Amino acid sequence: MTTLASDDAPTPRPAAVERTIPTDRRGSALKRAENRAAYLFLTPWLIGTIGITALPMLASLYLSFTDYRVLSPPTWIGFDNFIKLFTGDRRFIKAIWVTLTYVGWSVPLVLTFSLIIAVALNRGLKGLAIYRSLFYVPSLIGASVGIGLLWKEVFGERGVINDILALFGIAGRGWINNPTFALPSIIALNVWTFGASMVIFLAALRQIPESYYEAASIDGANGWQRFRRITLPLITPVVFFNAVLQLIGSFQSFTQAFVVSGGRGGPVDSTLLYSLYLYQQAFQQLNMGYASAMAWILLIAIGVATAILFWSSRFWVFYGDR
Amino acid sequence: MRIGKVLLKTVSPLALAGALVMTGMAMPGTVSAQNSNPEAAKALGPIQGAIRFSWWGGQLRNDKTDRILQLFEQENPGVTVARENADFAPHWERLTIQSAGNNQPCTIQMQTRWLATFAKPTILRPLDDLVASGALDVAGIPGPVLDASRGADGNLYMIPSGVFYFSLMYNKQIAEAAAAAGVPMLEAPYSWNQYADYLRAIKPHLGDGVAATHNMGREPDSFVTWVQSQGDKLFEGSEVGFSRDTAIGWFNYWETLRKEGLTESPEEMVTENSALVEESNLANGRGFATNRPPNQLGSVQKIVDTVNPGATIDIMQYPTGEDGTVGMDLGANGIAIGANCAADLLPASVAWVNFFTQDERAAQIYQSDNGVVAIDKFVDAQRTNPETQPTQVRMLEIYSLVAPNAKPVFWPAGGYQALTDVLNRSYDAVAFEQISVEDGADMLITELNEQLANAAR
Repeated sequence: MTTLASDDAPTPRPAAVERTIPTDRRGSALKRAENRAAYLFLTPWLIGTIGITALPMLASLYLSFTDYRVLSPPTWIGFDNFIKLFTGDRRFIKAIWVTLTYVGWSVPLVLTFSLIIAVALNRGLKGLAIYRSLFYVPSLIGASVGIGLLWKEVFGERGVINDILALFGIAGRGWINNPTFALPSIIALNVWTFGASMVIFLAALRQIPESYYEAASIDGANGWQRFRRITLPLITPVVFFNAVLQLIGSFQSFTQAFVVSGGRGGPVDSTLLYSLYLYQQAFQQLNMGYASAMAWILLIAIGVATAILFWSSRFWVFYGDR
Repeated sequence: MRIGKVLLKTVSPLALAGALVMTGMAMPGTVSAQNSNPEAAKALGPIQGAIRFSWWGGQLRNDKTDRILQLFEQENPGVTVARENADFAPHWERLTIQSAGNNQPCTIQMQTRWLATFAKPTILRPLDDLVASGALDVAGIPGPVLDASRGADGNLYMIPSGVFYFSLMYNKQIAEAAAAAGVPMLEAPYSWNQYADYLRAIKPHLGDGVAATHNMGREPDSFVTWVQSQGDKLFEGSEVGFSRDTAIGWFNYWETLRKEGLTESPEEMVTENSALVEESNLANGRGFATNRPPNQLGSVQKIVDTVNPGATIDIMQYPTGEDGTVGMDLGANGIAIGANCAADLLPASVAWVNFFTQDERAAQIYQSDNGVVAIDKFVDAQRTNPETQPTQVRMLEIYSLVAPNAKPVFWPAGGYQALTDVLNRSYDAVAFEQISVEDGADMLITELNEQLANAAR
């Protein structure tokens, strides 16, 4: 309220009029503005996820219930593809067994090998960075076509492996082209790419406080006991992480088998990994509906295997805060 | 009834045409030069734009094709041709995916063995109207050869540029040395058993570790000649046409040779014909005979000159049945036009097809690299031209011998892919002694029928 000032007393300043916005409305407007900015930045990813991943997945799901021959329109046949896969396709069952064998050997071997090398490198070797890089390189190039071709030559009838064996008087054979040894050769190729797991293990090992080992040493624990009682329990979260990644990757393995067998999964279907058989059905026999059904079965199988691994983690993964 | 199938069954058009090509005779119904009408080609529109051309082949063929394309582009400055080459199998896989996405090239190298799979108006443009108007120049192409390029619906889908056949390939130097030591060279006609006896006779004259023959048990081209030489048919419509006994006979034949040590090991057998020529047993003197396509004779000899100097590679006819029955499939390679080819690119596409099939310089560069050139005057020119490679002349010679008795196969949709896949797997299982010969034959027939039925849907 404005008052008339007298000649003698200083004129009081009028009270400042404070213009206020209700707190909840100010918060909502800011939140909306922030959300808009977030969605704007997410838009490219959303477009990619929907356009390149989600929509094709939905299309694949639809096609899995159809007879789709690529060069003619799809025809709805219900569950026939799925029924035929499990009851009338000998090669499908073979592909499952080959893949389970591949996964069953590859995953433990990769984890074991990478952990052993990581423990060795964690001893403070000179030139650690060089060794770490050298061991990591195969994981970058191992899945490439070039390495597949190289592996084919190395393990071939006149390859380096046989030349080395000949030095010891051992007669070699065509490892890649023999039904008994072809799959182990491809497993060996996958194990060779242990570098990525090794680097992760190495980082985990470096997080373990040195004081634990010192205390254990004082109490008389030897190297193996320190590893079993200290190292292994503390890195189980990382073992679990690597196991999940290796499991998912191994189930989807394709390139090595394709290159080494020339796309046929031979000899005698010994390298017929699931993904390779899916490829043959889709792109060689033009059985796209059938291949789509296989793809969804693979997705479910990987999901189930991963879920089992997660469930099992409660029994052997040690998170230090629990 | 499908026109193409009727023609192939009753006329054996490629065989007849092949003989006529070699003798230079025209036959009634041959599409003659008067059908060519350059004005009709001009009426399609200006020859301009960017078109794509896809083909299959090795480096030698890629180089030849590129030279012809460069010549074409020089003479048609408004046209650029994007090259899309691939190996044989990937070419068809790529074309399948491109066709599914309506993204096939304007000009596509095509083959009669694969035509049934792609011969649909939604994938390949029917060419009858262009041939009838003379825009597409088919002068000199025998009518039966042209008719063999029709689909089941009777439409013409490709313009043939070469006719291919099959033969054995062998090290002539080794054969001549053995002949000098008392093993007479094989002279056609000879039977499969005589071929086996010859291999047994020549084996002692081969070096240590040298296989007398590539194990052809898994080779589809060899299997076709066996089936036909036994008086059987490969297909009956979209089903297996040969008997279980024929399949058992085939597997037994190769198992006998394998166990006698006349072939390479099963491990080597699996990769021999898919390996690079430079690594093959034939090129490196580790094998005496194999079944590479005769149009590879030139490229094989070129490589042999580098890795195994002094060796001479030659081709010879396949064996016959014991009663002299000949088995020989003939096929044609050519160029098709994609159904999705835009109207303004059609003139350039037609011009390219005409150039590749009719231009004398193109024929001289290509030298029947993908089958004996379909046009008779070019065959004569190649045969008499002193610059023609001796290996190409030899290919033309053998063709003149096999063509008259050939029995072209009508390959159903997916047929070649199915036969290759199932024959490989079934014989591999037999050779690695995982299953018996009889079980292998049953597997071959059962799974082949399954795949053919799938492809026919």
